Amino acid sequence: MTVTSEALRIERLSAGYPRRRVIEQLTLDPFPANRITALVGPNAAGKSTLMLALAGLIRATGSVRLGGRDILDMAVAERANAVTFMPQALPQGVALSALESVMASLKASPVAGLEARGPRVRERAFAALERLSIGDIAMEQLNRLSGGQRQLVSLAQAVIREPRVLLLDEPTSALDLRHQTQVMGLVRELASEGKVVVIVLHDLNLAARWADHIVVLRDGTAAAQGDPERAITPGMLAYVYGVEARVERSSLGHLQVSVERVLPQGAGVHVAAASPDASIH
Amino acid sequence: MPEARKGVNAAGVLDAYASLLRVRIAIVLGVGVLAVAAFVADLATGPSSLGAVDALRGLFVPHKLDRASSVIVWEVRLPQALMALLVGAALSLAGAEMQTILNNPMASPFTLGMSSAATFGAALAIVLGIGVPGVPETWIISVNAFLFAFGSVLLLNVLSRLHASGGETIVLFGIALFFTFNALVALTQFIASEQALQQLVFWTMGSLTRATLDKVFILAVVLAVVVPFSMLSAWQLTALRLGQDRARSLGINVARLRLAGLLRASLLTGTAVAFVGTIAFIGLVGPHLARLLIGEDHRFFLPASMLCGALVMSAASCASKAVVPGIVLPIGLVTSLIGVPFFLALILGRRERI
Repeated sequence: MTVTSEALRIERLSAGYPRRRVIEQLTLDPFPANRITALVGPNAAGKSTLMLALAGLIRATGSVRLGGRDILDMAVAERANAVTFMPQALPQGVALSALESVMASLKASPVAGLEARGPRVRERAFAALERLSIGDIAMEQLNRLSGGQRQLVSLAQAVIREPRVLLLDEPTSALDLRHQTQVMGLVRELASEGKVVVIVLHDLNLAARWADHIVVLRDGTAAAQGDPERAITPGMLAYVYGVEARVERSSLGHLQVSVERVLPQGAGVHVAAASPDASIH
Repeated sequence: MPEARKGVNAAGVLDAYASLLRVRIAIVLGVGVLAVAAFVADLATGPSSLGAVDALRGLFVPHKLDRASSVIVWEVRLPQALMALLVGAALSLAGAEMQTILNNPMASPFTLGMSSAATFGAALAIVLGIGVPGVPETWIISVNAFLFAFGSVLLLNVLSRLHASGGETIVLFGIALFFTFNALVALTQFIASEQALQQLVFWTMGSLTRATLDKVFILAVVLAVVVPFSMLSAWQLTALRLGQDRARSLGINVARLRLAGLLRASLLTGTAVAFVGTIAFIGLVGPHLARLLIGEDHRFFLPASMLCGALVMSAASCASKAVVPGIVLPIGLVTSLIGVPFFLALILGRRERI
């Protein structure tokens, strides 16, 4: 198991699509190793763009340093050794079993330090599925699995490569509460092995409950960042999401966001400008 | 995970997987045996009065046959039967790779314009006598067909790179090429002399009658060169089925994999079509049949596709001789006529089985 204490440092990152720059000169606090970093924000805030840029799937400039190396400068195969990205969904109509799909993600390209030949690959793939408690569907065809099961298999495909940086795009979007909790528990376990785990989440309560570090994006810039208490505030919610909301602690000590109403357009900006961290009640 | 389920036995699952691999090997071998059987049947039948026993004897003990029978076996039936096997395997392998790299189950050499491009190349040679200088006259049609099929893929790749696009756009470009080359073929037909028109129409129907052992040898060499490269890419192709972004994140250079796959497909299609003309549906049916039988682990899917294509093509060759006794129908017609209902049955039955 690779253990690293290297944080992911993003500086002056610009990324986007041929005719549309989504992120411009973005510099963020380091994403710490051993921690879960959640990217949150409204639709079109730049979360997925940032994720794709970190995964090397769209063109980006600036620097994304992991240890002494800039992952933007790495070749595809070298980056795949350090970083694994899990997209939101597996494609439909694929005639592969869960086990084969996990094997393929290891066999697709060599991973430094991992033996990927012979029966060891099968054992390793099965262990990855077992780790997510889905060893019983190893021989099932992907087509026959529920959305939630497919998402878990997809996570197993990322986990098997034991990357230093794990990028997860909404890994819980198709999961029920029980599986959400299971998956986030596993994500926490993976982070504690020394990985940098970056996860896109839409559910702020889930982010507040599980993330150690939260980056709130709005229009390609960081509207707030830091631990959940610092990042999730009524002022931020008004400014970024345009809603009036309470942020309270549950009896278990977790932050909880309760939206009360949608603010008229532009109102949130004034609230945030007056006092970004203040309660708006 | 806090609650690992009990009762899931690693050894049990791994044993099940090992036996699944054995079943797949058995299926591949089984289809191979059927393809050989179809080849033998293809060899044993024909419009001449030469019977099955004599044909097979002539193959193994040539001096037992009279001169005429020997010519029938060695210069007509054997090249045609071998060509059927190899063309089926080549087109089907090309179709299988194209379906994966373009993520489209309808992708095939025929539907993406490669065959149409080859036909246009052949039409230029037949109707206008345009060909590569220095190429012997007997080869001019084949060389033109090959160059145009190969060129169409390069064009497809350049267009898709210019637009930085993925599989879907390549398919759309392919369809555009299909219609463009078909229109150009129609144009050459319009200006063709009666004799050239007849020759061109016959060419477009696809026929094994032009097969010779030289051509069989060339196609066999092309297959022998291409297949190892395809098999070396098997895991990457399997991983590509999990989605383009995931594949790239797994360290696969998808653009390079796609280009290499398209070049292999064009080499196979160009050579096959150059020798036998347009053959529809084999490139589509072979991979679909293999997918149903064996799934998409490309270590098995690619060889199974080749063997299914070879089997269907050999069976079509037998059928082309059996439909009207004494007459050999152009095999391209037979693959289309048999292929369409067969293909529909496959697609309609698919949801139940997968």
